[in-house]
Amino acid sequence: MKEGPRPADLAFTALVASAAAGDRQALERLLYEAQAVAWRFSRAVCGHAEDAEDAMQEALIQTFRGISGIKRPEAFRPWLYRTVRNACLMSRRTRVDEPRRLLSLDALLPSPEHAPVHPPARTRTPEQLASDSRLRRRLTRAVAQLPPAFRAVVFLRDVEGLSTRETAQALGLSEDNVKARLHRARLFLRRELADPPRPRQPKGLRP
Amino acid sequence: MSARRHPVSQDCRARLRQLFDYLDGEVSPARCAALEKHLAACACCGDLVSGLRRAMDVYRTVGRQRLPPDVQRRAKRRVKQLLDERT
Repeated sequence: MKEGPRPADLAFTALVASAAAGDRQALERLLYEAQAVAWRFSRAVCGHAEDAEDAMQEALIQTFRGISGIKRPEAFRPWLYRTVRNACLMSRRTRVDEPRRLLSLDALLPSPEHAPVHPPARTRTPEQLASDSRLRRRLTRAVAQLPPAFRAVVFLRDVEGLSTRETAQALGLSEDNVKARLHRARLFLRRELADPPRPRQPKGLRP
Repeated sequence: MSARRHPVSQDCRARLRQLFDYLDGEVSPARCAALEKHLAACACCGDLVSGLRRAMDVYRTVGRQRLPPDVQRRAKRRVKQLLDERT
């Protein structure tokens, strides 16, 4: 069952519509949010803290230029993420569109030689899990090991909450391609959080 | 912690895409009920889904960082400067 737009998405669309109609306060909030998106994307996907401010500046200018031409406010979000992605690429020329390495499903799915699985989920809330500093470090390390093309997809879907279609539009991919990368990225993160710490080169990432 | 190991069988592997659709809330109510019945009975898929959900929960919570105060200040200042200059 496809879910309808989330309240947060509707609020964002309303903000875009108000900004496009000339509401100064809405425009201020939108220009701030564009920079926040750029900061998060730059840090999480491109991984270069020093470039985040450049990406923020670019997102700010592009959003300001683009807002008056907005015809469909609901299409603004993927446009913004595409702009941010391009700003990140410009600053470092990191390719996030083509994976250099593939994630092998066989290596990512549990097999007999894998360690026993972790305790069932929901025994701790996400906030409790996230406050576990060891788990945070393992997650951060695992995300950094993902090829950028996979990292961008899982970040947009699972952290930023974009739909599959919005993610596809933002990254210039087909929806099937988004799903394929998302599933592998999630399987990789699951495995890295479930198993005992591994050596530096993770299994499942192959040239 | 379970001491048993639950490798993924070919049957379960064939169900993988449905499990992801289930995690994303993109299955019909009837399909959802059928999958939940399967998850309760199949340790392999049950472990996989609970581990995936845990990883997604942790990443969602950890990844959604707030901007540090100094970055927030600079972002707000840039907005003000731009609007003062251009409007």
